[in-house]
Amino acid sequence: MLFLQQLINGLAIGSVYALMTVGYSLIYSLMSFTNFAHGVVVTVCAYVGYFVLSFFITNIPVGIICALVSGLAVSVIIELSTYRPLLLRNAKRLYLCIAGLGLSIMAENLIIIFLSGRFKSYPAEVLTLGNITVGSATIGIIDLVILGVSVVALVGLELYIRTSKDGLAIRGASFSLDNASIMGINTDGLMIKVFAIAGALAGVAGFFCGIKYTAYPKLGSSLTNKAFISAVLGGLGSLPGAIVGSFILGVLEVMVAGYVSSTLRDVFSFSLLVIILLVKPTGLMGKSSEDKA
Amino acid sequence: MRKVLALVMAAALTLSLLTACASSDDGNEGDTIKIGFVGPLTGDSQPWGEAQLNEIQLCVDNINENGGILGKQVELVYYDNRADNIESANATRRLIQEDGVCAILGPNASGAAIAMASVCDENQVPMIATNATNPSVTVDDDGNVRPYVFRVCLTDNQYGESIASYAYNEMGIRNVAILYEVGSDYSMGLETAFTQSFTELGGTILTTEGYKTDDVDFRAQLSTIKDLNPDAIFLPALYKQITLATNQARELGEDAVFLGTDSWFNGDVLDTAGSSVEGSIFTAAMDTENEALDSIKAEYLEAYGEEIDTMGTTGYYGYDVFMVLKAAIEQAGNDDPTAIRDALEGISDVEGCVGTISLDPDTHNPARTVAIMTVENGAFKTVSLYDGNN
Amino acid sequence: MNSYWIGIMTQTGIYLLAVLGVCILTGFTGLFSFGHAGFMAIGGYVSAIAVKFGDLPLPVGLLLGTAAAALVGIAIGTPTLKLRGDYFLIATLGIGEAIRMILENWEFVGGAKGLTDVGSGISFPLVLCIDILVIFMLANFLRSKHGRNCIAIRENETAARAMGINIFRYKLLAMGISCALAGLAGALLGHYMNYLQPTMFNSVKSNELLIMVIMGGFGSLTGSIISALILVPLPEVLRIGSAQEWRMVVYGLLVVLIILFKPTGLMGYRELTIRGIRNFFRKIGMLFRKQAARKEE
Repeated sequence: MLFLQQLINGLAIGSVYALMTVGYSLIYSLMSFTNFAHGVVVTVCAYVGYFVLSFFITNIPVGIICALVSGLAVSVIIELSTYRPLLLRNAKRLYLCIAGLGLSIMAENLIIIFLSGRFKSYPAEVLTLGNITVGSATIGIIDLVILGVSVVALVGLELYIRTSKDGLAIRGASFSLDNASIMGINTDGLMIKVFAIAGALAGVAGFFCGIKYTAYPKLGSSLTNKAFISAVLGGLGSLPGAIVGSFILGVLEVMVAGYVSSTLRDVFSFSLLVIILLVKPTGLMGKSSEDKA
Repeated sequence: MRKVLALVMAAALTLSLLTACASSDDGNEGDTIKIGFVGPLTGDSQPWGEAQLNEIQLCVDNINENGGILGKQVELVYYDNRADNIESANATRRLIQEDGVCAILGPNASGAAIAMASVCDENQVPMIATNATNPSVTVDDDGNVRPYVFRVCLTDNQYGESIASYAYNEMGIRNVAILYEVGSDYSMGLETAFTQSFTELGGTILTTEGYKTDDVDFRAQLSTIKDLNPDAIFLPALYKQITLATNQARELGEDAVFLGTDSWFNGDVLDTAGSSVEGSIFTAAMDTENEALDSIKAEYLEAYGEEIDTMGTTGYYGYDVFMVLKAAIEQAGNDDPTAIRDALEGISDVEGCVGTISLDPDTHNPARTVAIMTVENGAFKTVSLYDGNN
Repeated sequence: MNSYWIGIMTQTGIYLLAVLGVCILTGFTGLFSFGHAGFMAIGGYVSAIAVKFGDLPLPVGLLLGTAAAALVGIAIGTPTLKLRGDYFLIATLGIGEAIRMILENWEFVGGAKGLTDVGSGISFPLVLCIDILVIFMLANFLRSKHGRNCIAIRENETAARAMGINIFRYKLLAMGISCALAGLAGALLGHYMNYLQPTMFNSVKSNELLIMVIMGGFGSLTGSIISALILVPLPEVLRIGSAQEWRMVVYGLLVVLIILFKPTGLMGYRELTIRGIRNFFRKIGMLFRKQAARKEE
């Protein structure tokens, strides 16, 4: 049945979106700003995965770990070098967004200069792992891997947030960073942890995207837009919302492409974004978004 | 407030004066023939632009060693258009105004060519597009030929017709699904041409699915296509989308043969999607196994250390376009742009790399033979030739 | 003076209008727009349709384009200006992309292949006149009561509201003016190139507009003007190798540095006036006199 196949396609796409969106939403909920540099982590790790798999060892788990670690590192570096000084100065949140944009432009063009604008495709052995059939639908093995890893990562994250002490700190700080600091929470350390988690997830997302879509300079920025849409759809600031939003977006996109018109898919996604922001900015599960006085 | 205005006016006037002084040399020194080249030298399309430029440069060097054209040395001025249409127009203007070229070679894309066409017509300097296949590059919407625009490649209509004909007549294919790139002149032109030819022959187009430039996930479209069970899938895409789409299709369990176009003739496609494209059929600008190309291949390899056709046939077009221009300049007897243009219109029997080239005065297009190629055991192989008759 | 350089200057003059548009929005509402190229697109396409299909004269087309962009801007601004800063940002990003994609899919205007022969007739003197007129009107506006209200909002929104200024109405006004300017720029660009294509109005363009305003100082008209005058012709001047990518790297780096160290950009919130220049020289003069006096001691 075509519908089942499209549904599976949508969930596969959604799982990749989810890895990106969750990291972005985590940062947003803690620090109330949109990290435009999130895409940088994704792109960089896609390339890291390419280099590791092409020149060192063609092994997916190794690739995932390398991407995870690099993502973590890059994200923390970005936080410490760019966002931290601004936050210390209590800069307007918009400034952080602009700085993120600047970083993302820099990174994308540096990659084009040093690694050439042409895409880098992962080794063929990784690309042709075969598929399995479920009823009348087919799903690639790699997509199952991606789905599996994503689910594990996301469930792990939710557990961490709900049960651990750090998780409690994060939840508290997401209401008010300043109050949390007054209560004795080390907010500096917390921010690093949050960026690290977001970076790690984004890194893994980058690795998977590299496999499925090849590594190319604009990879991060094009997927970041989808992450925004998913986050807004699910509700900015809500982690479960981010996950739900991502899967819904993935499935909706595929359905639009399959049943309505394949070229209207992106028009649909962006229009959805605008409509939600206009009609229900809090999304499905999010918090208030009005400007405070 | 009036002071702000005064200041702004002063600034504007100063700027005008400064730029008046910035005007540099106004062109030809008289003892060299300057020709221009516009193509993508950076970005995604870099390999094609580079191959073409390299080949043209090689031709220029060869000619200069042998006395030049009409006894004068040839100077090649080139600009990167970054595959952008506005950049192409700007580069063209710069070549004409600043560098004073007598003719422009390139570009290798239809959108850029159309943007450059109005600049060339306006300034009366001829351009010869290398690989711009959209019919409206040389003939505008009202059916009038653009006086200063020519090309050495076939049009989308001819390519579409050749693959449709081969598929219907030789392969017995009756049902085709199409997956094309919305936003690419190349892909859209071919989709239209193929659909028209194939349906005229009696075939059926089951569905026409589109994707946007920069899309990387085609599973939604491919699933729809698979559901309709076509005999073949026509995929007029560029190499990145070819690798992604074919791999994704095979992963979905879609086994139909792929029909492609000259963008398929690309070594990278074999590396990254070798098993998925095995058995595909596509058109190529020329039969690359033709022995006549051996000397060109050898020369290029020696000069640049790479094969001329790893990324496609654009390098050979470089040779052809230079030869056509050279013949036109010789026929005109001087390097006046309008004289060259007059010579180009209706020029005939120029020795190209695989045969003679003649340009039709009514359309400024050449008549050429298309090669039909396939992927066999992980390598490219020519299976047939098509010249509009079979 | 050949048509190549005139062409560059004309394009600069055209983009200047869009940059001023972004400047008005960010400088006087404190909101950044990541999708202003979309409003340029609206202006461009409406004008093109009017001239090419409606056979209307060029000036009418330009007016229609400007008005259309302003109207769409106000329509979109009404619900979004109430949102928080970064929501507005994402909304404008989405709008810019949505507009471009809708145009890419709309066969009537040529879709992704674009629209050719939309009507030409834009010359450098015309653009220069329009630029001067617009700058004159903007400067006037800023000196007027409405302008000063906008500045009050920028400085401290709560205090402004306490003074009885209708924040929302002024933000909407700023948005309208900003989008009108972008629309005008888009219409001029289309007729100058005699050709329109959705990729001419993509997010890279939006980013470039924003970058120019940030560098010039987003509260200052003169800052944006200087920024545009330098940065728009830059790609043409730098035609070497990977220069374009390095140019973008430098832009990105400059943006980050500016935000880190001098967020108000080159000119901050100040404008360039003759009094300002006189003061500047006077200060230097005093500095020299102080040095001389100290030496005598």
